[in-house]
Amino acid sequence: MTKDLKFDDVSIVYGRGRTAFTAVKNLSLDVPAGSIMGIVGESGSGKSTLAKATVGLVGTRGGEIKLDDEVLKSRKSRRAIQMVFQDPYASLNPRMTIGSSIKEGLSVNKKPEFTVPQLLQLIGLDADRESQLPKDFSGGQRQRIALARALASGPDVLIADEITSALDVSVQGSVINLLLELQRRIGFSVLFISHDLPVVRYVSDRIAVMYRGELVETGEAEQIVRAPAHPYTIQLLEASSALSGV
Amino acid sequence: MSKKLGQKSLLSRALSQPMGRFAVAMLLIILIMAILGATIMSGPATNIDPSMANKPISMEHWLGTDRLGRDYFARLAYATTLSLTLALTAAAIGIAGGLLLGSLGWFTGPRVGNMIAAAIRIMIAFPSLLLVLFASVIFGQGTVGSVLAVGVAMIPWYGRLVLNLVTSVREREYVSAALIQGQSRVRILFKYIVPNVGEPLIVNGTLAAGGALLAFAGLSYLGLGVQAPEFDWGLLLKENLIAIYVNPAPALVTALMIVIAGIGFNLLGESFAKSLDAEKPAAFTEHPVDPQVVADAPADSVALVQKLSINAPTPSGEPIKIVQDFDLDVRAGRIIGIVGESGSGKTLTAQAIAQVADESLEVQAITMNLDGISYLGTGASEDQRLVKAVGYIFQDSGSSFNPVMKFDHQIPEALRKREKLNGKRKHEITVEQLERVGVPDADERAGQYPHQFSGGMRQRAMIAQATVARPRLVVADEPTTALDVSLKARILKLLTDLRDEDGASVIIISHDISALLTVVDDIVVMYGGRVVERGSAQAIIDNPQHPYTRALLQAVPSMDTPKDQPLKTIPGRPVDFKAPTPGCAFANRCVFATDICREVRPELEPKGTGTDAACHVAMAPFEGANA
Repeated sequence: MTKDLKFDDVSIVYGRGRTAFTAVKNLSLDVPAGSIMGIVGESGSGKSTLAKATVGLVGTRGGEIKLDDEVLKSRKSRRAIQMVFQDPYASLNPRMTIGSSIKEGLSVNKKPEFTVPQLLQLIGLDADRESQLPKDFSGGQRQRIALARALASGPDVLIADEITSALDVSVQGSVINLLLELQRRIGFSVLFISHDLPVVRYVSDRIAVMYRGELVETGEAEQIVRAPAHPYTIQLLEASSALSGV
Repeated sequence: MSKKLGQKSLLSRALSQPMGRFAVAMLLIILIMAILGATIMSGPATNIDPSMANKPISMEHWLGTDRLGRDYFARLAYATTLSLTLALTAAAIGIAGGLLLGSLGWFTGPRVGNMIAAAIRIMIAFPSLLLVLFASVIFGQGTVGSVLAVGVAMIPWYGRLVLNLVTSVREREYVSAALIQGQSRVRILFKYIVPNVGEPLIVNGTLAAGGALLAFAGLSYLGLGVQAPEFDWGLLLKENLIAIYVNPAPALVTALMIVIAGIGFNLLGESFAKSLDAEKPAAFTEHPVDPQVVADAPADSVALVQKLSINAPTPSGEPIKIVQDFDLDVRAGRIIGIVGESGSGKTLTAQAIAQVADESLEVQAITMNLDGISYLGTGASEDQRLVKAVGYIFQDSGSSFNPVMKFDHQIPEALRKREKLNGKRKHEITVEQLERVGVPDADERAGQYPHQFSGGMRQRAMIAQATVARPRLVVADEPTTALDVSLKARILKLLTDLRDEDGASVIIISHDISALLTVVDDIVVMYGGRVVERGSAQAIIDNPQHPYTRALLQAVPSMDTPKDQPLKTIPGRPVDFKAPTPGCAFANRCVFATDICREVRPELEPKGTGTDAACHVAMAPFEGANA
């Protein structure tokens, strides 16, 4: 049983005064419990900023982010939202064994569902690799480990911020397959952020399109890619199909 | 306590170098002296016995005795104890204070953090000796005062180091991940930040201890430090210098001890620092290649490479073969894509062709021609003709520009040797180049710094830089990987424009075969350091003959990928270069592999479908990329 994530008129501003920059403008969005919401947009569209605000790494300037009507304020209440980052080489502490990294996630979970060996098994790694350091793993494996660490805290919502854009296409598929398999099995909701439209379409139930800090279109994934309404979405789809020569 | 796995301690790594062993030996001498001084020598050092006054050097008194009958050697040992204790105490104060000051900003938030950083910078502006003297006036003369003085003077210096290191780590994603988990800041500091900055802290702590030792000797010698009847090296040196014409040995040996300690600590610090980057292999010596008969290069060949191999040296001596038997013939106006996953050797191959390969790598070939000129074993990076022959677009535009130089000083760089350029001309060239790659407001942009450009814009600026001399060949390493779709399309368009306008040939390297298909004429697929398939882009799309090529094409989801099935993946692990196999490198991941695949390496040969492939298996017709 997970919770609904709600963005209610959220604005995020960097800096103050004349140099202030509005990264996210009056954004409202519902992510129903157990669903996968894809967020697409070009660099600078505010999608990563939104992710950071959701986990509390940056503050909001207006509006509320709610988890089942409970307004997220303190850092503690965000434990229910975990994040997997883009860069597999920066997202794990290089001096901590992967077992300890995952244990860190378990340590903040009051009712851990899994043990470290179970989590390793879930992500397809041998339990005896628990005491190895991140440097012994490939980029794809590190993303799996980061996924296990995030899941160890027992989140209601998982934010995946460009988790495959630093990976080879040959590895991308296995990380996405794993994410979807775990999502179906455990039932958390996912905020899947990516600029790769075919991947977002494949992963998501619904897609939200962001442009210059604003939400320009949301809808069922198929509907967004087959019958886009907003000019920017159409442009994005054209650029995407121009690239795929197949 | 969890053991640091697969990692030798800093000390044992330092001990593996001659300099480290030398430093430790020196410090052991100091330590033994200090122990002697604290134990059996403490009596003889201080007991006054006029009957023994002014004895010369003997077996009982190695350095003789002073005018009050005290043994010089014992006094030296005694002084060593005090000097070492005081120096280490002061260093501990400096390090502890520095750690506290430097990491305070981590707890307080940005505003207070900035104020602390500013305060540290102001304190650093004063020479440290001045700070020591200033502090010793405040804390008063004497032992305690001087310990505090030396220690406190060290705080801003060490604090800045800590601050810089913490700043470099605190934005890392693993720190963010720990914050998201709700770990406490104290815990994150000690479990996530300190372990990752610990080594430079130890190195500089060691240097600081050495510095403190010398500072003390100086202070005491000046009379500001330890006061009689207590004495340390500085005071002892002063005392012994008075008697230097009677017995020079005590003064000289005391001075020698100070020198040994100073050098010992510094060398130890140095060898710690050195062992931190000891992982880097030594430069490789150039190997001549046997001259062999080579067919004449065709007239329109822009780059001709035959039997290129690239080896990486290892500490154990057996080099790793990263690339083997790579052939490429790039004709004028062609766009070639080199495709493969991480570790396939594609980037190193391209760098070797463009003569920008790392010097630690051993690059061999039978032919290595660019624009009709051979660059075999020439170490040609300074060759002016190369500027006209090839331009290289690096993968990471963020770190490829000099951050403190404006674009109009960097972009015309390649032309510098060819002609004298004044500032105005440089600016004109830059504006022209930026306009060409579609940077808006080029006139204003040309005078900006790299950090003022967005990622996509920097990528374009890099293309502008690489093509400023209108090279015949442009090599682009993953030019679009970090960019979003709309930018991707624009950058690829730019590369085809280069061909259309300048007649340049282009080599594009990518891990994503589908990203290339629309722009390239020919594709070279690499796996495990070898070419496994090559052919025209069309032939590769229509009917690829190598299972790896097929897997790559099928791995990329399209808008029609069925959502109820898992994405196609390539099972198994990438090639382990340390354990080469006799057969096909892809065999252990290939669904079609048979015994022969594992035992005999297939040669690259025409398959009758428009592509050359290195595969023993006769493949069924291709069902399409997303089947």
